[in-house]
Amino acid sequence: MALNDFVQYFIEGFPVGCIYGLVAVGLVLTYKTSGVFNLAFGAQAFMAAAIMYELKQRGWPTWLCFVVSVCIISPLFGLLLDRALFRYMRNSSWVVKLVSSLGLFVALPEIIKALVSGVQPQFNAPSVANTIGMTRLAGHDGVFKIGGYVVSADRMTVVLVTLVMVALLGVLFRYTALGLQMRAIVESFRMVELAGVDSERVSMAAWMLSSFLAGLAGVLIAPDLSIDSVPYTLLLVAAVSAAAFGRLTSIPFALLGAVILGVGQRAIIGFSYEFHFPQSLQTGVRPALPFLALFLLLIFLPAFKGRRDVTDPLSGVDPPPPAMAHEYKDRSLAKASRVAFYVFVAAFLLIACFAMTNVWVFRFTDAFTLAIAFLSITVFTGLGGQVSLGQAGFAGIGGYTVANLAARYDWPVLLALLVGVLFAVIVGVLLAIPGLRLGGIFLTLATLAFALMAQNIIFTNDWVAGGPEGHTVPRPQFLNQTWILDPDQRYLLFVFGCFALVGFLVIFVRSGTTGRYFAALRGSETAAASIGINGTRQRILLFALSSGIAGLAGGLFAMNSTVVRFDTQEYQALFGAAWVVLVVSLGSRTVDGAVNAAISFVLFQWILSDYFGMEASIALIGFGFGAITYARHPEGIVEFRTRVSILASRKAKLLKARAATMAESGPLPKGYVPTRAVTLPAVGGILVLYVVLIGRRIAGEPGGVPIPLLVIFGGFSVVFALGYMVYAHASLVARGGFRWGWAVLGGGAVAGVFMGWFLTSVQVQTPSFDIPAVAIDVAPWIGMVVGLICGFAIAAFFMLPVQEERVARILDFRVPPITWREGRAPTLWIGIGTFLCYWASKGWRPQEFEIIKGLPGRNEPLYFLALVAVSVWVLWIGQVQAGINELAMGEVDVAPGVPLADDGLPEELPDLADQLAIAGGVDR
Amino acid sequence: MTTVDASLTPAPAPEVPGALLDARGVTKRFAGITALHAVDLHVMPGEFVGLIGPNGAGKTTFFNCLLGILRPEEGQVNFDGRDVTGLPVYQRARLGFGRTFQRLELFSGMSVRDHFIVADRAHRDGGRLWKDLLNRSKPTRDEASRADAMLDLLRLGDEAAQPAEMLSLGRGRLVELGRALMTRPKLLLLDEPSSGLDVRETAAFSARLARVQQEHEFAVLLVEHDVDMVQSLVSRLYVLDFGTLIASGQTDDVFNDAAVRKAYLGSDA
Repeated sequence: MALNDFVQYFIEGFPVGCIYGLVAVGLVLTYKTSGVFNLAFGAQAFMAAAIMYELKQRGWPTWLCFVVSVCIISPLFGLLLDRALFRYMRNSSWVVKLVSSLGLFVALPEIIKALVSGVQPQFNAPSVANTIGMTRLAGHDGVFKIGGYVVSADRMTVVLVTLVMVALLGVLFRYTALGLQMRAIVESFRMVELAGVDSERVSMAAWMLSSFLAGLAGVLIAPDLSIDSVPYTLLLVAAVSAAAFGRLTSIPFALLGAVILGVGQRAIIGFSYEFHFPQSLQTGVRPALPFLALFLLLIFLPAFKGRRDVTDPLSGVDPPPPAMAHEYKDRSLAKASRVAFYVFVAAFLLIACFAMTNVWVFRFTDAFTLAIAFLSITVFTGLGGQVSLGQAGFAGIGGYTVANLAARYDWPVLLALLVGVLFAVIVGVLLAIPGLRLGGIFLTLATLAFALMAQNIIFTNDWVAGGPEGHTVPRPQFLNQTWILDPDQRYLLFVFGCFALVGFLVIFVRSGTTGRYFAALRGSETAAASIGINGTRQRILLFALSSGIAGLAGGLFAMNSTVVRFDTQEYQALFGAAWVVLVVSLGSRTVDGAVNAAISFVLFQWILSDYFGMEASIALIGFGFGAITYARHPEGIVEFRTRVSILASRKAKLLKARAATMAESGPLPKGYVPTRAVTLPAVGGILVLYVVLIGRRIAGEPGGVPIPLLVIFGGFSVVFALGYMVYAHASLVARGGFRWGWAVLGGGAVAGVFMGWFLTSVQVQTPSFDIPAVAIDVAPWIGMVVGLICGFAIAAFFMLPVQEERVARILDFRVPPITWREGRAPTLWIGIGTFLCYWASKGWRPQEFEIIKGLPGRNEPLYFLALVAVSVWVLWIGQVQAGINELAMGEVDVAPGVPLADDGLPEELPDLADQLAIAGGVDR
Repeated sequence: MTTVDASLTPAPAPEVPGALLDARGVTKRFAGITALHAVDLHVMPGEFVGLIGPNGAGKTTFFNCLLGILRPEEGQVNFDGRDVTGLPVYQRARLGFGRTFQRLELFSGMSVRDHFIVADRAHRDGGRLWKDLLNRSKPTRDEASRADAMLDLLRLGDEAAQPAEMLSLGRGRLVELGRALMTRPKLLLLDEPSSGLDVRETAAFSARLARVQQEHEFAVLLVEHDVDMVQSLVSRLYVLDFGTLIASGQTDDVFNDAAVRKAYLGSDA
């Protein structure tokens, strides 16, 4: 290679490296100051570019677009992230921080696509170079000529801007108090606080600065990229490997690494032409270089040896994680719920086999396959305490092995599946061995690099993926019969069997020796070694188990869709990252969590696309935000809700026991009403409607409930429930609740009427329909009546619990019977209902409405959703009345004297039988 | 009673016949600084030995060399007639090393009883995955009763179900002691067990330790600051200063030695 070739590569690669460097500096800065490795910077760069493009489209001058998107919106967004989210995670473990940023990483691009740039990638990004006059400075053809080499104005701008930023950063860190504080805060947030520094302010500044840098990078590189989320994600990975070059802590080395990467990428293109690399390598290696570099750096850089992550010396003061829900349960409840679970599963399988339409059988097959993949995360994260973003890679290895063996070499597909699992295990172990020295976030990054390498180098290879046609994967022969069950139903049972098998294995491993050793290693690796636990062996076992499970899922994915190609979604690294977010936010410690995550993911996608006519990927937004709840509920939402419901059932039992005792000795206190007495009438009328509906279906009639019945019975339930709310509120005010509660209820009603009128009367320009039109096409008076009810109800959903909290405080309760949070679920359902009305009035109808064969009514899913909404409402009423009863009878403490954890639940529960005896006997 | 002149490089000590732990000529350097300089130490089976020294004397470094957390550049560590110098921590643990930590290293999120059960299992069973997969590895009645016996012995019965993070430092030390004992160690290495404890707690810990040691007959190597604790428990004592052994012998003799008083207690009295 001639020297001038190298100079050419340098000149072309250097600006790209500068861009990587800007993002890498942001990564290092936030990681150092807040301990958050913000994987969302790629998405933030994308956001800045998309906003700039959008503003430019509206005819704004380029400089103004630049100022607004980069200098105003980007730092403000960083500020928002810090204030609204990461501020609350200062003292959380690295897993919490990582998963939350991963949630943003998954959700943010979807939000931007939905709100800003439409769904199509855009190519003609506005150029900053024009604005700052670089183009004019350049020669007549818009390029700079340096000693015979040509540099475009855009790239020259990148270089200049980066150099200025680096100089400014150097000054900031070396000569200002803020810079010094930023460097100190990395050691311990709490210690810096103790030294009298306002670390909140420092962290805010760091977030704003790094978000600004990300936005700047995004806008600068936009002319070279399409404005789409994928290239920006790859930009992030390049920045991550540059940051790894600086051991995630050194900004100068991060910048150096970025430049080496940028130039290296360019040079590799040069080499691959010069030495006539095969086509697959030429296209694969260049984008893969950052991942390769990241992987090798993490594995071989001595600085990462034994490094776990940023640990806070004062983190020992944090409270322990909550106990698992199943330890919370009483024996009788545990038994009952187990029986209920098996009955439910049996009923589901019966329906699936004999009554479900094939489309939905396929979708549930998909869901259970996904659940297997999720179990691999349950093992890796829930048992091992590590986070892997590489599970899609293992799934791909399983999947392509099955596809090749079965399609190309005609192996029996089950044998191919076994070999696929074995192969995934081998790769997992091979990855575990170099990864042994890594822990925490570094291991996570290495797995991400692995998945991206697998995706870009191996899975795109024609020999592996079978070219553009892909491989056609058969299903096991014995499933292709039609005796009693059709092949699709048989296959569902097969996949469910696989899932059940893996699920039980995971439970056995968790409760067995291996699980205990994992728990010990999670607690303290040195202590585990001191009692003779071989950490190396356990770590390899962890990789082997979880990659084997992922490989099995990958093989099943291949059979599910019968065609496997280079772009099969399930094997893409970013999809695997979304898996982690899903599983961890719903619950990574239990099999329930994995099942819930899988089924809700699949159902959500189809409900959104079939019933709401939206992009299925919008579901990712919801799950991305789900990850953010992880900070509050590290055990997962499913676990949390389980524990809440266990507590509620306990409290109900105690209340009942106390009421029975009090009834023996005299009249019950004023205001006590059994919850049944309010919930049954509220739900009764609506249940009558459903009975009528089912009757009509059995009689073979299509259509809904006759209007008069709807008005009489539905109206009764609604009027009763509204009346109950007024009555309950009055009684709470009488007990000392806030008087202004009435104003809130009235205000809600007025606002509701206004919204009803607005949505049904005022012409608005909606994003999906270009012609101005009213949002919901019904008579305004109907809109206003429904609005009145909904507005009043929403106000009451929140106000009644607030009143109960107030009264409980007056009565000196330790734990209020209910909190305002309980108002969120019914409010959400009113929102969903409004949204459905909006779509329905636009003439849209659900697509795949037929879930159960022979029930082709187009509104069936809507009836189902309405039933869910009604149950949420009624449950809320029951909770409110239970609260009032408790206020009337005196506090029932489910765990007297036991401290409350951060999530407001007691840390452990005493024996129920003892408590019942106390609650029944004495009223203290 | 021998006093060693620090300026001379001592020849490696001869093998001590019948010693359980026999460390000879252990030298450890960190980037040019010699943290340990040819240290010899032995512990006989069932013996209660102390190791003291001022801050920075190299006690913890030596401790880590014995346990396998650090590899010494020179010298040899023999245990139970076997050269263990190159063995990793967990293998030494299986041979009969038990230890506690200066800063508590409990398994967070695990109850006290589970600490004992997992240690018991680590001692008896390397952990066969196939047993887990066949659901054959739930805690047995034997394991539970052994764990309960240890809870009784250390009077931790009331805390049995509590997660480790909820314990006070003193109780946490006892849990660490119990966890180490569950692996039936031949030699127990205690790293400053009194640090962070008040006088009463230290006395309680010493009392439990002495009783348990009589019952189970294991050897102890105690690294300690608290002179009272050392004097009340230890029969033989080593003194380390600036990485060199400056004295060793019977406890009372060592405390009366002038060089020790000067280096360690910082007085000529």
